[in-house]
Amino acid sequence: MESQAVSSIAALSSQDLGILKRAGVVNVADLLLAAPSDIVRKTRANVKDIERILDTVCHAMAKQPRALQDIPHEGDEKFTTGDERLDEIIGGGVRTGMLWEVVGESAAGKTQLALQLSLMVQLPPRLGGIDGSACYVTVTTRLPTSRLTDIQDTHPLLSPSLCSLSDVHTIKAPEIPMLLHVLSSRLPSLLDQLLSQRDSKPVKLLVIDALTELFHSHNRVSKDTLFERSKNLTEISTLLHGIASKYQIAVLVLNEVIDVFDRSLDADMGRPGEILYREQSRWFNRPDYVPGGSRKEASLGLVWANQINARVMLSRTERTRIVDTDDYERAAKRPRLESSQASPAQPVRVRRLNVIFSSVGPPAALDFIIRKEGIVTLPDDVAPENTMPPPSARRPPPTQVQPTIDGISPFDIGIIEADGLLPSSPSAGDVGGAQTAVAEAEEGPQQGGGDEWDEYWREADAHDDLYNTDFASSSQSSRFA
Amino acid sequence: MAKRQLATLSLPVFVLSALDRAGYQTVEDLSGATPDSLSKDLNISLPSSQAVFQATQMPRSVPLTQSAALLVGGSKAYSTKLAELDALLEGGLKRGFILELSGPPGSIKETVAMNVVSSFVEASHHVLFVDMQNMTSPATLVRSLRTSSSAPQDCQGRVHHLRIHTLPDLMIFLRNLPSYLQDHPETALLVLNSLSYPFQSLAGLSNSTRVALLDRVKQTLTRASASTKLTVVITSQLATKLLKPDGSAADFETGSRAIMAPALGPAYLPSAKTYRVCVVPRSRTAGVFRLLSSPLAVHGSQPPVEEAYQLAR
Repeated sequence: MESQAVSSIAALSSQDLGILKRAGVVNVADLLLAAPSDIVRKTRANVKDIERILDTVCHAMAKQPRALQDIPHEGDEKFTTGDERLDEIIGGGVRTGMLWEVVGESAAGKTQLALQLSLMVQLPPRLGGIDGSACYVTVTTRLPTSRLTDIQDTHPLLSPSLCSLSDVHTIKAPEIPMLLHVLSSRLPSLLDQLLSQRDSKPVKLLVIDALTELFHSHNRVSKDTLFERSKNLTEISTLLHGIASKYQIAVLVLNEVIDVFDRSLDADMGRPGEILYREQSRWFNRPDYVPGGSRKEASLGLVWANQINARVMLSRTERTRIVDTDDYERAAKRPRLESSQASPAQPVRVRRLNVIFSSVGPPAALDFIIRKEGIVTLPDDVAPENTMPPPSARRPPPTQVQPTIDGISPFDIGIIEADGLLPSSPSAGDVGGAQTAVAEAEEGPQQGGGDEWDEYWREADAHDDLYNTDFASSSQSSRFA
Repeated sequence: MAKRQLATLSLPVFVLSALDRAGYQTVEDLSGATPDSLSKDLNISLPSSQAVFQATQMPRSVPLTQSAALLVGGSKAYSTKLAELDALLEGGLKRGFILELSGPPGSIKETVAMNVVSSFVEASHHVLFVDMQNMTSPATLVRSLRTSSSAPQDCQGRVHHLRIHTLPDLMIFLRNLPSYLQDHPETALLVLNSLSYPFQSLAGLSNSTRVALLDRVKQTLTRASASTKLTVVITSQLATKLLKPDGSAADFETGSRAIMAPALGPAYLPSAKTYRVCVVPRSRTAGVFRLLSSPLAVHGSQPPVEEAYQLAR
């Protein structure tokens, strides 16, 4: 819409188009965002003519509001995660038409959950799916197709007849300009193409794995670059929300965590009546601190937190549970495949899933574990917990600490000037002192290797033949041009 | 406010203990007193006594001499279904007035907007709901209306829903609004949900363009409020501002604290018709509604004018 040319508006006369051409107005956006007085000045046309042109264009491009009674179910379309308890705490399932974020440390289960959802969406409605396909966009990694196959083979709800790797369309976008191109051009083409093919499942899930990887930097960045990054985040967000609402797709963005910035003893406590970012961010950037839990918060700051409709955080805990198949309310549908955790009595690390905020439900939390079939939540009354050996042996290397002001992220330069307006151009000069490299993801496994899933992920194969510049289905065959 | 414990006010310790010794517990207890009588009663100086009244905003009885602005809108107040917020709005939202609700992610601003929709629908008015960040789908609105007193069919027939994400689309909408209102004269409430969203994109926008566009919002809202008594509810995100210790603007080099404030600033709203309220959570289930400005005045932050809320669990 942004780039729609004014020449395409049939109601405009050639005289009108001439005026616009003289004013340098090519797209509808140019016209709408310009001050009429500027156009008058450039073209010496009548103010009344300009106003009339504006009226004509706006009338032609008007979007009609729709009566609720005609669309009462729009926003109710949702698909199962494959786990009933998880479905319930996120509001009945994964709803389409909104932007979900799943945030957590590496190997906390984010990718596992995203892969699981890429298959669940494909199920028919009678089994909790919505007959949809998935688009999986990776940044630095390749889609771990062998893990997809594992989930498909072992999850009780799934089978090769119900879902397929060919309905997971994948593409790699390692740089921001590429992601913008994918979201503005390649993806809409794919979406429209699938919609026009009668026997294809329309895309109903879009995964970005992982957004934060696009913003890693090891260099000292200037204030200009930081403004650029904020701008990129909002550009990406606008494309994602546009896609989510136009095609009624569930957009799932994976994000990483950073260490919580502890308030220093002489921190500036502000004046009464001021809303301190430091105090507010604990309600939307992280869950409540649990003793033994790690002190991590979502990265990308307020600028990104303002973009999403729901934030789900996955974290490790220090707890374990002894679990075997009998502990679940459902029976494993197949004999469990041999794996490193073949012994039923093996302790498994318990993880915590927190719905930190959501536009479609209240905050909530659950324990879960990761199994080969995917994310499996635990009821609260399962067998007594054990704790792992003392934390000191297991604490992971800290994520990169950002020396920032007050815990505020370098992204939060959505600064309001005194008169309420954003600065139009950043002032020159570097941001002194702050090592403004954005958080790097935690690397690799815990020390002591107590987590079986770290090994699993290290082994995830990369299929070189999937690396291409367009979407491919994750089963190695068809390409979408 | 009336039930608020005096001990929680920011007053000098000697004043607080004097109040306590004299038997004053809550703000309500002071309702019969004047600064003069209190200063004698507590044996404190008159300025100290006046400070007590300032801290409790007793002068809020002034609106009894209602301004013309309040009278013009008509006396019917539409409830936000949250008593504390209605109190800040001096009874509720009136026709022709604008309520801007800002707050951090996860705060209840969108819920409040839906509550106001219910109130208008129950009064048989029509509503135009513009959703700009996918926060409130038609199904969500239907669910929210289900709890209201009117029949579902009637409710759903009175609400129209529109999705916009970009600035050009918003400008088109605003330009078409007057003719929409002419075609749909029963429309009494417009909700601009997540209005800050289309404005956050800085791509290619000069400062003067942003000013001009915000001004266009103001013109449109002012005209609609004057001509059709359109009531408007706006929800908005917050942005951050870096400050030096003395409270002046800072950057990363000079700042020592970060504060949050409504992303759009006050300039786009007609001040004589607008209530600006910020939702400030203090825990995951409770917080305050803070009145930043009302048609009568811009409210300072010392002490802040606010009402506490508690979410049902």
